[in-house]
Amino acid sequence: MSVRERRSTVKVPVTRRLLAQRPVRTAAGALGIGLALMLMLLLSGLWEGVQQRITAYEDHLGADLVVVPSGTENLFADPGSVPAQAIAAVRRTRGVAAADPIRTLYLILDLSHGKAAVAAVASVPGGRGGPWRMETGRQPRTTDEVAVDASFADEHGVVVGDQLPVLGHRMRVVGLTADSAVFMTPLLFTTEAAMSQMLRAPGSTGALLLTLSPGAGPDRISATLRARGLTVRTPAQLHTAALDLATRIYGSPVRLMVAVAFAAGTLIVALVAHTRVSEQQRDLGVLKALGATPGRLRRIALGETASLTLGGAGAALLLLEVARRVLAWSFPSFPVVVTPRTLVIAGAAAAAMALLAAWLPARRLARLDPATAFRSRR
Amino acid sequence: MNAPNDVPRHERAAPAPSAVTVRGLTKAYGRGATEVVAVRDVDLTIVSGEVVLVMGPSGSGKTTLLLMLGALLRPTSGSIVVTGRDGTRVDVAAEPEKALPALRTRSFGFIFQDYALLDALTAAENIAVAANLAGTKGAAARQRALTLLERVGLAHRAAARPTELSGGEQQRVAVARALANDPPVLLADEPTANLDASRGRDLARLLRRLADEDERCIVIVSHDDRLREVADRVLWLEDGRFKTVTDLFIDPVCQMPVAATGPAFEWAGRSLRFCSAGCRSEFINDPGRFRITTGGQPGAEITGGAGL
Repeated sequence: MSVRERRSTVKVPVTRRLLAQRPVRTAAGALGIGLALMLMLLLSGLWEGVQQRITAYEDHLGADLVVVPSGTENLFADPGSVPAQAIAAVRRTRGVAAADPIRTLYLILDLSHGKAAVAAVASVPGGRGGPWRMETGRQPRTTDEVAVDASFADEHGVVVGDQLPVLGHRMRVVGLTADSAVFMTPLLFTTEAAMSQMLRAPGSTGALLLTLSPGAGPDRISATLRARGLTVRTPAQLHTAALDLATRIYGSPVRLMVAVAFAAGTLIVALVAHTRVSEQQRDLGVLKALGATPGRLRRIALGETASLTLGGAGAALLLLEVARRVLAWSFPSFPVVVTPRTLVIAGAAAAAMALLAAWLPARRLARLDPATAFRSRR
Repeated sequence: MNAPNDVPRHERAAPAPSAVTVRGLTKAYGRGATEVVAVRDVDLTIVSGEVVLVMGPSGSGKTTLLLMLGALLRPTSGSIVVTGRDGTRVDVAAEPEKALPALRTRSFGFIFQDYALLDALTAAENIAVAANLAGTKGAAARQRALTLLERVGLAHRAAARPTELSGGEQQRVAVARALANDPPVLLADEPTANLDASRGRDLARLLRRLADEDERCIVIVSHDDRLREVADRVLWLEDGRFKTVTDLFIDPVCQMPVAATGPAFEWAGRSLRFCSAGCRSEFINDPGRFRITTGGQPGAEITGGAGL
């Protein structure tokens, strides 16, 4: 269609003009919708961030397979012991290139200003299962050394060289780790030897991180180890188990909050749409008296609601960025992660809100008595 | 049926084709004991180029009649046949609901008491949007709007919003909008009610001119006695029926026309008629406040007229 042809089909932009008629009200409506959408995005982003933090350790194991104590589903929540004979049996298995022992458990640190929960990880220096990124300092090497999460250190005023009480022992902080602020319980790294001593369990370990030889199939090795009575998990299974546990604990309240935000958002959009239609009843009645079809009036109502929702979505993104920065500054352990999936879901939610909210006013408009134009007086 | 008003008053060299033919038109609200008949078995024929003024007391059914004529209200019974400019005849009362919006754009132009312009649009856009509804879009609609604004003497106000226009200008824009789709019938509801005497007279002349130049029929519902000057026929509607009226009186309180058929009151040697008991009470309480067009002595007793 040429520009000339397009111009010849242009109608008076009634929807745009009605929106522009009261710019402050239009902006207030869009802002209300934006706040509701931002709340949804924020909660979804927080949940996404929490999920990423919950599985931070499992996602950085770097192992092909993990041998865990019998019945263990979750590395931190189900701590147990893999006996020395089992460790030896695993190391003898063909196709297993390396089996790095680790211990994982939740600890409460008795700090000078109060108690703090951490997820402790003990690994062999230079082996798998240790810190994957250092912010400053180095990994622990000896039995009196620890490395702690950098945000935990920042929150509690811990610096490299400080001493921390771990299971009744004074341990020296030799490094601060990055990307290790697991939700609610940041990671504390120490050596496997130190933890075995403190737990008085020499010879055994908490789990084995297996590195397979080139060409060795994980399924075959897993089957072989299971045949020997060992419990084998893949990192993906441990990831899922950690996530399932967190979802069981936190998922329902977060989903409820997201649903409440969605309901609140829908109500706000509905209220804005309803108010606008009520305010414009006379104008829309005039259009109907002049010959506008119910469909045309519905399109006007839907167009206004969609424009407001679109404006609200833009406002939501801006507000989200502000909220994200404020949260990152004041609560670094609560990351807000907005993924393309979250955006798609929020977009769909916004569209659903707009449709739900516009449905009633649109129905009302379809039934609008054109004689309103004669009866209403300014 | 009410026959007396079924014939156009004005005489023409050759009979003009009828634009609107109403037969047995009735509108009842409610049912059974609560039924109220607003318009009762009305017959009416209006020819092209004719201006018909419908007057009557408040609640007589004038607006209901106008709404039915304009396909804005379904009659309970009867027919309203409108002849288009191309000669096609449509019974508005028998058309399905879905066909009414298109019928309204094609056949009728509406002029409202409060102008009913969309404040969000400019004067030209208010007219163009009416053209859009009939399928005229883009430059053609804009050009049509400008042409009509020029015709009503407001070409220079095309970009003004209704809030920037005077009452008289707004009503002229409303007239231009009513002409947007060149309808054979214009329907006006109290078009001069919000205008002062001079502007009301101007508008009346404009309506007369539109009827004469375009062979358009115009139905005006009004209390404004000044409009009688431009009307070919004045119909008196009372209790939903047309009545023959030999003379009209002006209520001294509200200045509305009152038929001579109602109860009369004697005051200071003058015969007065009121549109309602409210106006009569107001007059009794303070007769000196009201303008009496003929004779009389202030302070004299008002008597008679038990009917109001």
